[in-house]
Amino acid sequence: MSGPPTSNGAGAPILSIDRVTKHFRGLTALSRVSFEVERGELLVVIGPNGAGKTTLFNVVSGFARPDQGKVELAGEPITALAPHVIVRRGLARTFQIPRPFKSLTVEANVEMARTSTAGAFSHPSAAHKPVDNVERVLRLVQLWERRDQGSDTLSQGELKLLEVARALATNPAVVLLDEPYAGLGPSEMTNLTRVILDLHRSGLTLVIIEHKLRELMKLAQHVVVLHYGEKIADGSPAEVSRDARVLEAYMGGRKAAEHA
Amino acid sequence: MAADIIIFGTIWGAIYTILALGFTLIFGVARILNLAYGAMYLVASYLIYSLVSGLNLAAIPAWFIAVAATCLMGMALYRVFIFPLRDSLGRVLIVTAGIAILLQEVAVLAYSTEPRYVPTAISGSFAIMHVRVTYQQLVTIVVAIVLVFALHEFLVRSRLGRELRAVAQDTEMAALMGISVERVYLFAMVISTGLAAAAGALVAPFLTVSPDMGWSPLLVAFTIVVLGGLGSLWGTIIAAFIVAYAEMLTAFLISPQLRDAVTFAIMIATLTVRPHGLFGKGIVE
Amino acid sequence: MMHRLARVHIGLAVAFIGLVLLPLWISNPYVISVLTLAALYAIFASSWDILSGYIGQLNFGHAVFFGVGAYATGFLGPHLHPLFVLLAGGLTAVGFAFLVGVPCLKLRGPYLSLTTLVFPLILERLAFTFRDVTGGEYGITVSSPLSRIGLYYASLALLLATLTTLLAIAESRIGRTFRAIGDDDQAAMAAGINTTRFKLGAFVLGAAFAGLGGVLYAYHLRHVGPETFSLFTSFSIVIMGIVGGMGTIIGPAIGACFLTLLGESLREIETFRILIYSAVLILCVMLFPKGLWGLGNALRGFIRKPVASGGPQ
Repeated sequence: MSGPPTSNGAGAPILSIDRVTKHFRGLTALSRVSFEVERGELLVVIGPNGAGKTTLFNVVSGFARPDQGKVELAGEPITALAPHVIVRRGLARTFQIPRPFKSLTVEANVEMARTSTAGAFSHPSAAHKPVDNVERVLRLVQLWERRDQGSDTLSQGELKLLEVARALATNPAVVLLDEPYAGLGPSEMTNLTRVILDLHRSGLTLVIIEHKLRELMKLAQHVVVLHYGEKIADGSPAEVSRDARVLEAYMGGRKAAEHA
Repeated sequence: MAADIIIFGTIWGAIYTILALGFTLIFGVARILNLAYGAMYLVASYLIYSLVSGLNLAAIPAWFIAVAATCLMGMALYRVFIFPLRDSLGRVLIVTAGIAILLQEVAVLAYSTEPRYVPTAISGSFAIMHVRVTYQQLVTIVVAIVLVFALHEFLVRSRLGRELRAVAQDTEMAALMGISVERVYLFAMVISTGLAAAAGALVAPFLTVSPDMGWSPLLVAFTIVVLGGLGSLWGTIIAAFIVAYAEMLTAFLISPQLRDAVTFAIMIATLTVRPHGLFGKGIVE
Repeated sequence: MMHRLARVHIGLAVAFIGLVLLPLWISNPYVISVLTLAALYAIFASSWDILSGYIGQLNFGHAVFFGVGAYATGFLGPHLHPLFVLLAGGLTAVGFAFLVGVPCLKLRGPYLSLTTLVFPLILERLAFTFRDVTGGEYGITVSSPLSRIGLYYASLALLLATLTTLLAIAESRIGRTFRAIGDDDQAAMAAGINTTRFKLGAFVLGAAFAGLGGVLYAYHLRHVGPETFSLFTSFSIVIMGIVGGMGTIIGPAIGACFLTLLGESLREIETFRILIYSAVLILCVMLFPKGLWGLGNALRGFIRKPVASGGPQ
C-alpha cells in the first residue's frame, strides 16, 4: 500500500505503550497492554464494546492515570502527565461524542487550541501565527465557510470534523481519533476518509479507534485488537484478520473452526 | 458531658441519616440538587408547631399531617418549578435556591424571626448510666430507625423501589426497560420530601423552630452524601454518625456556634482530599 | 455598523459622565448613598460574573471575597493609611481566592456551587465565635476616611476600573478561553488549555475586585459584621447576576443597580423586600434566562451572537 516512506522500524517508535493496566470500580479495563506506534503510521485499534479502547486513549492522553505501566511519546515519558501538558508535547485526541465549545463560533473553537512545536503536520509559521493555523485547519475539514457561525448550529458529522480540526490545530505529531466515523452519513464519511488520507500522506501519525472496519482496513498499516482489556492481536491487517483469537472474539468459536 | 455528647450524637446521627437518605434519593436518582430540600424540613417544623401549639392537635396525628402536607407541597414544587427546568442543572440550582429563600421569608412574615417552641409530646425521662434521656429523645431515635428500615425494605422489595434503583443506576437503560422515568422522579421527590419533613417534624420538639433552620440540614445532608457515598445505605449511616459526633464534640468542647462550621469543613476537606468519599462510592467521577 | 463592543463602551462612558456630574444637581445625601451602594453591588456582581458566567463556576459564596475585604478594613482601618487598607483588602481576598479555588478545581456543577456556598458560612460562624477579635454579632465600627461624596466618587472609580478591566478580558482570547472552560473543561484540556491556571486566574480576578469593593463597602456602612458573610448576601449577588444577565459583565452590573434601587424604593415594604427579590429571581430563571441584558439586546434586535474570535462584527 502506498503511503509516505517510513523508516521501516529503524527509528524509535513515536508512541510506546508499555504494560498499561487500569482498574476501574472493580473491573479491569486494561490489562498489561503493550504496543508501539511507528512515526507516520496509521494504526487502527479495534475491539468489541467495552474492550477498553477509550480507556486506553484516556490513559495515553492524560485523562486517566494507569495503575501500572508507562507511556512514552518520542522517547519521553508522558505517563500521568496532565492532559494539556501532553497536548503541548505533541499528542492530541478527539472524543467519541464531540465536545464543542457551545458558546463559541466554529473559528473560535479552533482558535482555542494551544499549539505545540512538535507537529509533523506543521506549517512553518503554525506556532507563531495562530490565525493562519486556524484557517488552514478549517479549510482542510471544509468548515472555513462556516467559521462565524455558532458551533451549536453544526450537524453531528460537522461537529466531528470540528473536533478533528481542533485537535489538528494543536500542531500535533500524533493524533488519537476515537470512533471518528460513528454517526456519520455516507458523504460525511467520504469527507472524513479524505481528511484522514491527507493527514496520513503529510506524515502525521494516526491512531484510530473504529468499528467500521472496512473503511479503515484499507488504509491501515498496523492493527491492534483489544478484548476485555487485553491485547489479543498486533500486526498488519492481513495478519490480524487471520488471527484465530480475533476471529473467535468477533465471530464466535464456530467460524474459527471452519477456517481451521 | 461525655454522656451528653454520646446521647445527642446518637439522636442527631439518627436524624441526619434520615436527612441524608432523602437527599441521596433525589440526588442519586434524578441528579437534581434540590436547594429547597432544607426548606421542606423547615416547612414541616413550622406546620407541626402550628398544629400542636395553635390548633392543639395531638402529637402523632400532627406529625403525620405535617409530613403529608409537606410532601404535597414538595410534589407541587417539583411539578411547577423543577420539572420544566430539569435539562439545565444550573437553573434548577438557582430556582430551588429562590424557593428556599422565599419559603424562609414566608416563615419570617408569618411567624417572625423569633424562635418558636414546640411542646414535647411525651414528657418524662429515665436514666441510663446516670444520664437523663427523655422519652421524647428515645422516641425520636426509634422512629428514625423505623423509617430507615422501612425505606430499605421499600427500596429492596417493592416494585417502585426497584424501579427507583434501576433509574438511579442507569436512566437510559431503565427507560428502555419500560420504566416510566418521570413517574420515578416524581416519586423520588415525594419520598425525599417526606424524609426531610419527617426529620423536621421529629426535631421540632427538642430544637427551637426558626426561619433560618433550613440551611444546615441541607448542607449536612450534602456533606454526608459526599462523605459516605451516594446510594450506599451503610455508608450513609456511618457518615451521618461521624458528622453527628463531630458536631457534638465541637459543640460541647469548643463552642456551639462552630457546630456546623465543622460539618462544612468536613465537606470541603473531603471534596479536596478524598473526593470519592470514605468508601469510594462518592460523587466525583 | 459600529462594533458592538464600541457601543457598550460608549454607553458606559455616557453613563459614567452622567453619574460623575450628578452631584452638581442632586446633593441629597440619601440619594448619593443609595447610588454608592448600587455601585458597590455592581462591582460585586460583575466580579461574580467572571467566575460564574464565564468560567462556569456558579458561585454561591461570592460574599466571602468582599466580606474579608470588609473585615480587613475593620481590623486595619485604624492603623493604616486607606490606600494600604485597600491593598490589604484586595490581597486578603486574593488569598481567599486560592483557598476557595483550589478545592473547587476538580468540582463541577452542584458540588462546586455548594462548596462555594459554605466558605462564607464558615467565616460567619468564626466571626460569631471569636467575638473578642471580630466583635461577634455586633461587628466592628469603621471610620471612613472619605466624605459621602468622596466615597461616591471612589466607588464610581472602582466600578469603572472593574468594568473596563473585566470587559477587556472578557472580549479577549482569555475571555474566550474562560468560556471554553465553562462550556466543557475536559475538552479545554484536550485543546491544550491549562484549565487549573485559568480557573485560579478567574478566581483571583473575581476576588480581587470584590475585595477592593469590600473595603469601600465597609467605609460606606461604617461598620462590618458577620451579616456580610450571610447566605442572603451571597444569594443577593447571584440574584443580581441572574436578573441582569449572566455571562455579560455588564448585565450583572445593571442587575445590581436595578435591584439595589428597587430595594431602596421598596423601603416602606422593607419586610417584603427579600420576598420580592426571591420571587423576581424565580420568575427570571423560569421566564427570562438571559436576564435584563438579554432582554434588552433581544428587544434591540441584537440577538446575542456566539462569541467569535477577534475582528469587528
